[in-house]
Amino acid sequence: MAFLSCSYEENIKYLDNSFKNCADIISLELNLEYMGDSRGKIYFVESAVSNVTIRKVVLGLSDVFPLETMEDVVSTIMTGNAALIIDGKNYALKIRSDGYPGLGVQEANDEKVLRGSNEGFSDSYKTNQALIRKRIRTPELKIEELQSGRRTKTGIALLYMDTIVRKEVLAEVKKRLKGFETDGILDSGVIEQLTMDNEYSPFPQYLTSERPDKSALALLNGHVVILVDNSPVALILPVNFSSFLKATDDYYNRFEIVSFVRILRYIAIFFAVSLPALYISIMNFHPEILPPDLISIFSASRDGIPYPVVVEVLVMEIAFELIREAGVRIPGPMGNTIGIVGGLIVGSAAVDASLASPIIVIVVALTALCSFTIPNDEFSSAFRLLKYYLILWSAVFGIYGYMLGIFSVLVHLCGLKSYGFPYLGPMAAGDIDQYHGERDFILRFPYMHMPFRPIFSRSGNRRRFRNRR
Amino acid sequence: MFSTNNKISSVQLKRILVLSTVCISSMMTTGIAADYAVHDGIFCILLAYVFTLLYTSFVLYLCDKTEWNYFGHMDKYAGHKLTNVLCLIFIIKYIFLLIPAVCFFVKLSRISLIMQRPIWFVMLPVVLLSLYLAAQGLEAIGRLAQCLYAVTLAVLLFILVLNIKSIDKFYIAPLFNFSTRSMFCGSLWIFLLFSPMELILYGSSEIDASDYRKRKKIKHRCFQGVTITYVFNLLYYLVNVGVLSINGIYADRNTPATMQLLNRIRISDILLLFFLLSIFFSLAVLTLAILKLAGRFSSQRKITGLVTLTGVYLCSLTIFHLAPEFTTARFTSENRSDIESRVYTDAVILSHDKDSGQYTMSLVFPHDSNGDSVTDKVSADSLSNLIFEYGLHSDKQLDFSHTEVLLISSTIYDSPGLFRDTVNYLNSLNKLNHRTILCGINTPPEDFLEADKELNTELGQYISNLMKNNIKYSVSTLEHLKKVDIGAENACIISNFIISEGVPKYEGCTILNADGGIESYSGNNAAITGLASGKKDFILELGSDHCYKITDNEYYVHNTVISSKKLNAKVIYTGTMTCLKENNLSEKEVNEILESIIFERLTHLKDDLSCDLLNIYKHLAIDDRRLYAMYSGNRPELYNITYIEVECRFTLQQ
Repeated sequence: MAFLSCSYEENIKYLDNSFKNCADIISLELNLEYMGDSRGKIYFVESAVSNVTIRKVVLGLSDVFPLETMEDVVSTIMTGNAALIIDGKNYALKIRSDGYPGLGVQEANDEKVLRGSNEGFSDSYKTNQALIRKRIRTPELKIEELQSGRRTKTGIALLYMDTIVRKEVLAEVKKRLKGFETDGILDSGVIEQLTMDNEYSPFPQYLTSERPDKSALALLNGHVVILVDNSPVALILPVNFSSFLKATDDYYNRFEIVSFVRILRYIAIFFAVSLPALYISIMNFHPEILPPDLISIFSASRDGIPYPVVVEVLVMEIAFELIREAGVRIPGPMGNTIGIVGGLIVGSAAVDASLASPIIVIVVALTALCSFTIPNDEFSSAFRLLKYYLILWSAVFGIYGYMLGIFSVLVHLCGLKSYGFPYLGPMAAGDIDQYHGERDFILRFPYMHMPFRPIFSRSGNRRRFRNRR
Repeated sequence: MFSTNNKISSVQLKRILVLSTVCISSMMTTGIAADYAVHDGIFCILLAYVFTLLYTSFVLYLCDKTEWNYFGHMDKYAGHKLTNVLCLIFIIKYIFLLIPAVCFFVKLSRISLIMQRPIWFVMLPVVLLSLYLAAQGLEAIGRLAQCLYAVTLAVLLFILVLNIKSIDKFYIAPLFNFSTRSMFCGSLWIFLLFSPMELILYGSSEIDASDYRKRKKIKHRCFQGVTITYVFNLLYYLVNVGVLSINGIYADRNTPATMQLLNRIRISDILLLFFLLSIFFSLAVLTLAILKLAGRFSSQRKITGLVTLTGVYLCSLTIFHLAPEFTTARFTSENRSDIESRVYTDAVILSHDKDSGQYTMSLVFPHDSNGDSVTDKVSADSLSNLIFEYGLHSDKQLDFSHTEVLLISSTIYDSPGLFRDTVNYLNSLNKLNHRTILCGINTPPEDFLEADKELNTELGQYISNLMKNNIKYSVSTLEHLKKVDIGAENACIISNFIISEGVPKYEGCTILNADGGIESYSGNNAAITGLASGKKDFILELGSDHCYKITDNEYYVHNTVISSKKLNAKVIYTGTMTCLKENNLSEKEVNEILESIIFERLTHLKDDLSCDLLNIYKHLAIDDRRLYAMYSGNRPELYNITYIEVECRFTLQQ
């Protein structure tokens, strides 16, 4: 425990050292008239403490408490208050303020959870930094600010846990962020595309999130988070395949239900990419796989359809994509209406007019449902595209072509990396961290049995949990 | 940065070694072992295992001595030129392995999976994908191996488990019949399948062997990998031979035994995919070897890769068209068409009219949406024209993949020539699956077509349900017929049906051998035949006063005396009988009666009709390999000197 000393310089030196590289911690030198013109320096979290509070301090009107130890001072600042260091005094003053931004922050519309905070990022990266700082109240959380974009001079914040993050990853991130020159950065998506490992891959190599709690969790796991001013989406790196299939509330609920839901998600991925292709393969090439009762149902459903199965599948899939895009672009309640109307027209009327079989409507609907189950939209988009790739393979070669298609995707994924980490981890290269990653993969082990951070965190500091019972 | 060392761990190495060898060897080892050493193929595999272990030890020793950089070390101490010569030898070897591997892959795919697309079109993506995977490097291959390892091995085990209950242990024996020389030759060929083990050598610089502990782990894992692969090979050999018999493996040499095993399962196509995925590994590892070694001669890696692979592709095409093993393979002969362009049969009835000489195929299809019967009939001068004749008046393609029941008229099975033709024809009908129940009929097929109109369900489904639920003791399928055809069994018993009061009714049974029907039985005589053949769950009457239900029935054959002139085959029956009427016979008396009736039946069949109902030879040969050697080509001679003795040890429950 470090006590404040009467030496102003010593106190200042200690605090400045603690808050090194914390761009959101502001310190102001003040002249305290009401204390005999003493020197003072005030420390506070920028977005948490308003100017009104600072003025009150200067004028001597404020709600103050003395602080005697450095730990108290640091803690005061971390909790959104200001701390005033006074020359010649061996105590600091805690100045209460309104604290961090509260409900003014918007809800995370694209990442709904059943349990957990509903806060989402706003457009201001300072606010977003505060939202994260609110959750990680330690000076180990470092926030380095950069500027990018010749004309926009967009602020970019690099957040990481100093004792947890891998230094080589951090260095690589900084290198990539400085490795391009452009007119302007208007959203985090531009940063993502300019710094990713493989720009041709349909698979995202950054995890995006609108949620501060997800970003905070990522930081605690050794990831680096990038916040971009004017963008409500944070970039989390490095990532792997399984990162995209974990929702935030996976860690707030019991392990049994989380494991069940994750298994559902993996099944959903398989069907989201494979169902139409398998349907074509089986209908055109291998109907003998089907049991006898299903054969007659499938065969009868295709009666009267004037074009081949492949055309039917492609038409229905594209129709569905059109409805989806229309539903996204149209604002307000009309968007939902379009979805319902479109579904009715494409579904019911097409079947009645013998333009589509009932089975294909079910296939397309199931495929869509499965793709919506994937928590991350960019990741689900990859499967939306790959679906057509597999459809083409299946249309030409049947199930053999399906296998070739799946295999080529697997080969691509095996060669993909995110800042040096294999994309297919922990399935691939799981032995690097003695298979600890598999405890939070398809199944999620109970919290007590996941004492180690994932492979992204620095080796030598992987333990995050100790049971003291 | 993390993971830029481009090295693979020992776990990844093991998985690459297993995946690049287990599927291709599981496909091919049975055939090689059976070819060279028949039932002693087990020892072929074990010997090959020893060779592979020794070779792996040697390779690991070389790697240790060269500090896990074999070619770098050779460059330094043997000179660049000599190392290049060595590389060239390796390249040639791998090209000679890659070409048949590609051909084998395409052959497997075309046997079962894809319609008749041009070979060049099918082969191209295989070669390109192998290049794509090899170009990603050993690290990517290692990751893929890690991902697919558990799933692939689980599927391989699943296939084994599905077939375990069909194993007949008598097919696997007898052992110690063949020469060590043939065993040795077979083991060498099996050992050659494990050439991807040399990955340890040419990829040594990419294996993480940075300290002593890791090197020890690598060695341990390499031996583990070899052992796992050979365990699978052994299991597949045992299951393939146990289910198909050696005759079955020989009968269709162009289709690997494991493929034949797969084709017995409805989802065989999907399971085959996992095999093919793993065989891709073999291709990718071999391609990687060629690229790495060829990289010494040219710095233009992409061009080298493209040139090499174009060469491999063209050679593979040529070999595929010229080598008899590929040109004579039985590929999917029918054109694939959409599901709605096919019509699926529920039951097929084959009959022959002696007067007109015409074959007739009567077809029962699933009922239409109103529940009405849908049948058809087509006649032709020969069996092979039947489907063609059908096509002349129907817009749909016949599909036999879901046929429940095949009914053969007595007019066919009573004539050896007709029966043989029919069996050959059934073998040629693609997708007629082995689970289709085989039955005999004595009445005109039209009666059965009429009966289909009266039944709530289709005829085939009705008979199939009847047999599976009620007449369980007398079910024979096409698989049984095939075993008789290839000589793995001597006879099979099929159920006979008639139409009584508008519905099919079990009437009795007929014993079939390779030449057709031997004898038909009805009523209690059919039950006696069932008893003699080891069936259970039926009623047996001994006179009018005694009626028993046979709930358990097993037999084994034991030879008591053997000489060149006389062989006693003692057949011992054990089981349980339940008395259904008031009984005044003791257990001993009942057993004595059963002994006499079974003895009379078996000797009548053997001596008068030359029919070995129990395939005594199969049972005797397992005990005595001299017998196997002496009579494998001359069974009638064996039966001439065999005397049957019967002992019954049934337990009578009141």
